[in-house]
Amino acid sequence: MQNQSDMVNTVGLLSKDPPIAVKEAISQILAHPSVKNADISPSEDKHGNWEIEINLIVPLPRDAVNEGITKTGVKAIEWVKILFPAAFPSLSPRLFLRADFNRAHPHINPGRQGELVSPCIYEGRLDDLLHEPDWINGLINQLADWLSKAAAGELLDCSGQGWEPIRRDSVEGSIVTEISIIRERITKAKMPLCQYIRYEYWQSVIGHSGRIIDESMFYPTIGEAIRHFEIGNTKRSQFGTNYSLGLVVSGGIKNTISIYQPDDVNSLEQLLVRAENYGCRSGLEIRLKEISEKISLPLIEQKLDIAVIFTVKRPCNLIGEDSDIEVIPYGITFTSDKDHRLQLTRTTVFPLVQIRKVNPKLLAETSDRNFNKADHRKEIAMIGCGSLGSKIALHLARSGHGPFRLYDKDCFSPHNNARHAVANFAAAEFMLPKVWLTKDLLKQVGANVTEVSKSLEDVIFRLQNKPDLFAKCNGLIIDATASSSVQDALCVVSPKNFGAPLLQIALYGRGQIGFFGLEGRDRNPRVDDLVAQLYQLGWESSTIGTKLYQSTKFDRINTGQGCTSFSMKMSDAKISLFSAGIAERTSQLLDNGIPKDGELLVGLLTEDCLGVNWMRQSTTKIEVIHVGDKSKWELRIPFALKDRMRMETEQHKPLETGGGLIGHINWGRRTIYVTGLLPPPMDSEFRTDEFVLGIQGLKKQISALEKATSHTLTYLGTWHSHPNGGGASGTDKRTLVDLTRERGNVPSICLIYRPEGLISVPGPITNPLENSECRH
Amino acid sequence: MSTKITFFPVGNGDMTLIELDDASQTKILIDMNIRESADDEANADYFDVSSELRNRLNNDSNGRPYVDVFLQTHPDQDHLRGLSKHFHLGAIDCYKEPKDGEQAKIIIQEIWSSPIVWRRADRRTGHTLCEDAKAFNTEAKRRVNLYKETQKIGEAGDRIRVIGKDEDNKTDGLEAILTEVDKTFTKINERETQMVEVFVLGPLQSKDIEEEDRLSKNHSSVILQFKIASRPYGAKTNRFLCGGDAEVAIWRKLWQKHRYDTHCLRYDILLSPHHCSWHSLSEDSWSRSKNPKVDQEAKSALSQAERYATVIASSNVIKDDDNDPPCWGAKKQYEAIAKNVDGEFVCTGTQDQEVIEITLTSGGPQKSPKLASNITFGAGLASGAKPKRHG
Repeated sequence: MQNQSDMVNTVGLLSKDPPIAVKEAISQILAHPSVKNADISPSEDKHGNWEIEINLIVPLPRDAVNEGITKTGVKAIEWVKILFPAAFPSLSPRLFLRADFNRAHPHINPGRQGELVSPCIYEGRLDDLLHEPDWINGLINQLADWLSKAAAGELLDCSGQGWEPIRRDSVEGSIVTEISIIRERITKAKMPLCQYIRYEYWQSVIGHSGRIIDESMFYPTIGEAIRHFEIGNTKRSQFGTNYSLGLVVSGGIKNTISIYQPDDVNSLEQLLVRAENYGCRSGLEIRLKEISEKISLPLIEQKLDIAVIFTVKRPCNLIGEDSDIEVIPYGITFTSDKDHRLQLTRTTVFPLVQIRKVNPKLLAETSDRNFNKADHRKEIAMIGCGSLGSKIALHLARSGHGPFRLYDKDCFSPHNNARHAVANFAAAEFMLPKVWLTKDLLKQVGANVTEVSKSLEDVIFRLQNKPDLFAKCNGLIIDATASSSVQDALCVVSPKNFGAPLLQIALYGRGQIGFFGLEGRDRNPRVDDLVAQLYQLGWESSTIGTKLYQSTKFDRINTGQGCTSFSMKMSDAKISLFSAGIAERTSQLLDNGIPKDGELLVGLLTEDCLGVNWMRQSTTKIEVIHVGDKSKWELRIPFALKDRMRMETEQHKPLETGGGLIGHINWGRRTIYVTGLLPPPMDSEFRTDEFVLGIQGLKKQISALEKATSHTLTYLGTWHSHPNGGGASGTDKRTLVDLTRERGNVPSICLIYRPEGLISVPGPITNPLENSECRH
Repeated sequence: MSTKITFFPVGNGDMTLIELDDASQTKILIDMNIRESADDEANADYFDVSSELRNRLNNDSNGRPYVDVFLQTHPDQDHLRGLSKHFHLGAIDCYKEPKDGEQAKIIIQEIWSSPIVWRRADRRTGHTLCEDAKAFNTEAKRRVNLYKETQKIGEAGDRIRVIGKDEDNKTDGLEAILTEVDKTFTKINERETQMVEVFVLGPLQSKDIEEEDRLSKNHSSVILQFKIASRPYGAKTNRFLCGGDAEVAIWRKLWQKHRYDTHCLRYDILLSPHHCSWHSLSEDSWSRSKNPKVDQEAKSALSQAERYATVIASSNVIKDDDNDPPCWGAKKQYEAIAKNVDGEFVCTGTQDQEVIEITLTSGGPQKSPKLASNITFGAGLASGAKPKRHG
């Protein structure tokens, strides 16, 4: 007999050896340091699977060494069956432990008593693990590690990790719910509870797919439930869903259940036994009886799935969660009898995988952000929901930021489909407001959007009537309109009317340059100062300048304001290159705090268009001087320039020195931004009582400046030093008069640097005479 | 995460990391020997211990890697090599973010050190302690002075625990940050982890100059016994004894002191002193003496092993020759001690590309499962061991 079977075996091996991949895997397994004498006579079953049996060495904790087995039943040598599927090595082998291996260990795949135990050794798919460089060794390593942890009793670790929730890897259905709300209800209720909740499901490709419609509404009686739920109604939505009901079942939060039970419920009786273990059997029984007595379905032999959601108090928080209430859902399928009734004998029970509804916390965690509750209230105002604004809002929403307040007066037109974060064919043809569509988009993602009144009205007018429009916005105010008029309107707002700093973002030069300007504390520097700094940068650096000032018009991308059809030609992807970086930086600022000095970043698209180099420019406080007499103008000059004046004054002391001033003029707001100093021409004269600004080469310099910056920057006037202090002299005043005469209506500035501070030479800075002449 | 203790292969030197599975995942580093060439990727001979350490550390809220505690047993180079290069020293405000391609420096939130040990080492070496030792001393002094000025326990990065009284009452007034010999403490980095109890066995205090001299010559070190639970509030079922480079006279004295109550000397894991040196067990020279004798008292102090205990030699491979440390004769002694309790003697140098990691469970220490190393890596190492000629 023995001989015969040996012979068959030998013949079998001769005729059918394992495939080469299985052989290779077996030889590696044999060489594994944790594998003890393996019984290597691979056998094939009728499905073409090959299997081997091995013994694995498990290091036991000191106290278990003597017995050779731990208190939880892990042995120093564990038998393992390795089953290679026919599709190996595309698919991973499956690993099994002896049938009497203690199923009370967590991380065991669902299975029945008496079957071999299948440990869950890897978080991801075993098939993927097999494709790692360690190949079959990776699997054996993972199994050895799993057994070693099982031996230490560390698979279930309350201190470090938390309670391991019931594992459901291969189940027939899923339920989507916001468990935090359910947990809150259960915690508040304290006592055992069993109530109805609205439920909706359909049979999708993966099986039962359900969701709780409103977690915050519990219905205590079946009458109410029947009235509100339209149970069994075959009213079909887009997905063909069925309305049904769910039962939230709790044994009360004083009833801590600290026994880990693997999931083996597959009948109503077992479900009730489980309910008994959780201390809530009678409640569930009463409800099930109600259902069978009170509910009838429109059809006979009609199926209805209801959800039973156990909420179980555990001794410690669940892994990765801040709650000790485990939510364990099951589904029950009823089939109506000839009287349209639901009978408890005509049921099947199946486990449901619980999936969290999307919310900012889930978004934040998925995006690798720490979510704390304070963040939850950091509001972000998005002014301008165009292609750049919508993308940034979406990025931020997807990483769990918000709530958002949205403002845009513009409508979504067909061409917006090319670049806007919203893509909606029909909405474009009906010209729906961008605000509506963006709000919808953010809500689809799971973010919160605060309702704001008159969000379609132009922000410019809104601010005129309601200067404190953004007073309650406490996260960040983002201006993505790329509109100078919006910028001007925002600049007028007093710092106390802003609940958060203002950030302006814009793209220039057909998406070759990005601007990220964050205001400093008390709106100093303000965004317009940062924009002026960008202008100066374009003059100082030709790489930036050629792109910034490349077209005759100072063309920024028009993302909405002005309601023109003008839009810069630029691809969606190019905007995304910038919006991604901007959104990440914004996210960091929201999480880590906002620098008090503000922040100016200028991004340059790389030549191969693969990325953006963001350059950080140092920001500086701005000194504000009111100039002119009757014609009030505001002059804004960075501290950094004042510092340069100071240094030059020191160097020339006791002689006076000086130079030219260049900058930008905002006619509408009557504001002059000094952005740079021109060195004194060669023929300038430096004396103790006088500085004479020469002219040699000055004209050439000024025309070069104007040309290169498309007249964005211009010559503003002069500065000079009074090293020993003192006010403006008669000469100074005369010079200003000369300047204004020469420059007519263009404001002219004469600044004096003194150790005690900066002043401007008093007097009119424009020439009204010139104006009157113009009128003639 | 589990609670564990890791011994890094750093040649003849010590580098041990205790990781606790408490809420803050506390890390205690004991000594370090990060050799220059271990940083050099081109030199694969040394295990990349700096990266291995960093992989096990967490970052603080500012994204900077840190250890909760760095214990300096004594200031010899093989116990703190690499300190200045890899660790931030000085006020936390002066932390420099790494430049491109640099590794971020590791912050030491709390230092455990002993001024008297430092003083003895300085004397023994004729004031030729290494640069890292001087840098360490400066940092420890900075932290002590900060305490003296503010009379407050410092913030993370400014904290220090002084172990053992200094001479001439120099540690007077430091009571709040001082732990004397024969005392137990449980606070780690100003937190009660509910997992650890540390008993201070050394540095020993001297009665007279002669004894002071002997302690100096015997590599006076901080000697601690850790009792560690696998999780907070669990039973402290794992005992770890470490004593730097302390030599025979010190162990002999410890035995005389504790022979009638040996609890404080008991261990599940012993880091054999001075890299398995003969001098921790004997007054005789291993190479020069014809018949070197084991000092039975010192050996007794080092023999208080629990059942299945592990004795670790943190050293190069131990060969049957005249070398010391590591010393063949010492290895034989420790093997006998381990065998006596069905335990094991292991040396970090045997597999110098792998760490020795022991999990500390509620049922006592548990060795790591034997895992197969990456096949190609193993092959690469093997084929890189010898030059290959080509004709």
